[in-house]
Amino acid sequence: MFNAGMSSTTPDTQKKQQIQKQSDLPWNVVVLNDPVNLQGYVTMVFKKVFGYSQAKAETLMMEVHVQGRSVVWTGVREKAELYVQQLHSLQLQTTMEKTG
Amino acid sequence: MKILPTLDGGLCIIPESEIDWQELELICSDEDRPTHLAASLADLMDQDSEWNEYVVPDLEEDFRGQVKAVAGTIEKARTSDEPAIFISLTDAEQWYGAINQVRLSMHARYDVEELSNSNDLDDADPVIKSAYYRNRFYLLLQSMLLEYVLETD
Repeated sequence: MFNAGMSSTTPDTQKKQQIQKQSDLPWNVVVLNDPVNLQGYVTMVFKKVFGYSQAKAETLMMEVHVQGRSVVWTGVREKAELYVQQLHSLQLQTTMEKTG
Repeated sequence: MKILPTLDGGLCIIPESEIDWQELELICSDEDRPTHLAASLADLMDQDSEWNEYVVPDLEEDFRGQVKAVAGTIEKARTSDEPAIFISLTDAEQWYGAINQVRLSMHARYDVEELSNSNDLDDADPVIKSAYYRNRFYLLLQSMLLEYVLETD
């Protein structure tokens, strides 16, 4: 049999691979609804921070308003953290969550 | 109080009474507000993110800077020969942010957004009624900043 030993994995290796796979998953930046921020302001922030068009920014803003939350960006953890930090400094209630 | 758009794309606030000045000064009244806001935003993050350690101090400094800038402008305008407050495009974000801090704080304390009809307001505690009207004024000021200064493209 062709190099069967090389393809088998120990439980430890499988666990490490699983952890690696999880940490590679993209992260969602999630903006939550709040009763204070103005709709126009939230739209402006999405345009400014993410460079979205007026139409896309308004759609996401309405999603926050109607559904209570919206995934406004998805990608690598470091960049997601940077976006959350920017949105916090602009006083939007924001969190991040792992996809999958 | 008069609030007018200026030709150079800013806003001009002309307070006409002592109460007007007090309304404006109350934007900067609570020294703990920036700390509370930064902490409440950090509460939304996973504890493992070490947000409190690395991000909160910067946020707090930003929020404190907004309040300080607004307080300085109001104080300077109050003592000038022709008392008026000019908010340029470069100052507008700080003003908007400082006012937002007050509104978030008032919402947390009094839930003023819930007082939407006049019957609720008639029966409301005088402190809450006062907070409601202050919130309305701040909301108007934010809306004008947004319409005439910040969102002009």
